Amino acid sequence: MRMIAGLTRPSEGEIRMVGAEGDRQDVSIVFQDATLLPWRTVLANVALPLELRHVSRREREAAARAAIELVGLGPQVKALPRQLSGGMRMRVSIARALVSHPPLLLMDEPFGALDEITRQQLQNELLRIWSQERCTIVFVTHSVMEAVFLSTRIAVMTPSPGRVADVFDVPIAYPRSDDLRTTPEFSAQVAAVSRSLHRNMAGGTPC
Amino acid sequence: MPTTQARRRRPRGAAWIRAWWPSVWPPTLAFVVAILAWQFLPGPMGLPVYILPTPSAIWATAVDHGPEFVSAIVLTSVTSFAGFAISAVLGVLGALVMAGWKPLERTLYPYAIILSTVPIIAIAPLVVIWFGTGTLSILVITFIVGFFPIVANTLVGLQSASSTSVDLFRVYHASKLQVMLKLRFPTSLPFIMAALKVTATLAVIGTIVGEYVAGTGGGNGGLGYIVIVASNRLETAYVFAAAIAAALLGILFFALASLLSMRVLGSWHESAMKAEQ
Repeated sequence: MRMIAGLTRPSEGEIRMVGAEGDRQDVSIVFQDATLLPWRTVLANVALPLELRHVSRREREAAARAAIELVGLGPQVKALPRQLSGGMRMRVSIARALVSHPPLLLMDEPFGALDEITRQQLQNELLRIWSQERCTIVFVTHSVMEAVFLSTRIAVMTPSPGRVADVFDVPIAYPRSDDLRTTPEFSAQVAAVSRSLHRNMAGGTPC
Repeated sequence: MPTTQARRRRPRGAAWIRAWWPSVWPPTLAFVVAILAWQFLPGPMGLPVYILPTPSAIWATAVDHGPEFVSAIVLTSVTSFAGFAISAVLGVLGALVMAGWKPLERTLYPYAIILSTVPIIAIAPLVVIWFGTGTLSILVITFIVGFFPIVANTLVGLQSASSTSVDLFRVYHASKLQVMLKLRFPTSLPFIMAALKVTATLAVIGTIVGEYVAGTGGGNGGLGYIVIVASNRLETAYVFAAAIAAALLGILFFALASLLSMRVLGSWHESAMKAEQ
């Protein structure tokens, strides 16, 4: 994840992205911590990526407002992070990641710190947002159910050293709704991925 | 679910008095009792006025020395404020420069720490030797008192941005200058404000210590000068007057620094918001 984002250099091998020009990858990232700047309003936080690129104030505020609407936080445009709940802060973080309409969005266990109800709400929200944005999303999670619910493809990785052990396709059509979680199709998929995960956890060094 | 506003509306009018009264009357009563005791006990106890002057004697002396006393207060205030302001500005700038260039920081940071702990009492005479008697030395001493703590604290603040935040900026290809101005500097503001509050009172002390040592260089003296001269002449009431004025000045500086801190941090930082209640 960090290598794709350009934060760490690969020790061997290479990373290739379709449509990337040379070294400069247009990638956005959402961390488990929303990482909002507490002295900035929601609007200013979301506009940050564009501000770092020296986009004009009018343009970036318009883009930020659109992103904030997209994640369903229109009324909170002028709020400060300390006034928001955990779920709302995560939505702001997602809006910030999407403001530049990146072709690739990295999400590193973004819902891990949220309660179960908020987590499921945001999973639904993410699918809704994705149906509009249609970027590629690389999503890291420890929850098999979350992985199956959200993805088109799942890569199961081993603990250190992290290698791809298995790749699953999830042939369930979008849009996906909450009802999906209780269907036999879903359970079968979850079972298959879980088996692979447990098999590959056993072989590696303990966390 | 959206959370409610963290700031409560302060109760106004009668409700406000009722809310504050329980925490206000005990210290006020203690203060009144202490003042009365101080006024009426020394006489019958046979304490001469040059050992323990009564509040009325102190007030009378201050009024007697009127213009001289006031100009001393003004001089000390202006000098300590100027020294403090310069040390604050240069301290923050110095820290920004040091943080921007690792080799410089690694070389100078240990000295900043050491020099911020050396007692000013020991350095002051050296400063007078180098800069002569008079206001310049006093300014330099006040500056030294504030400069090193502010540099040290600002540096810590600049380094306290979370690594996730720094990663975020790097993913969006931010330049080092952008990271410094838009992330590290705002993150360091709570540290800077805390250092300013401490340094504000230290600056007053620094100025007065400077006035002890540096004299006046021919002009009018400040509060420190009054303390030295009046105590030599056993004009204890005047010493008290100067000391009380100095203490009040220190408190005023601290209050101003606190106000600044609340303005800068009020809307977003925990420390400033708690102060509201």
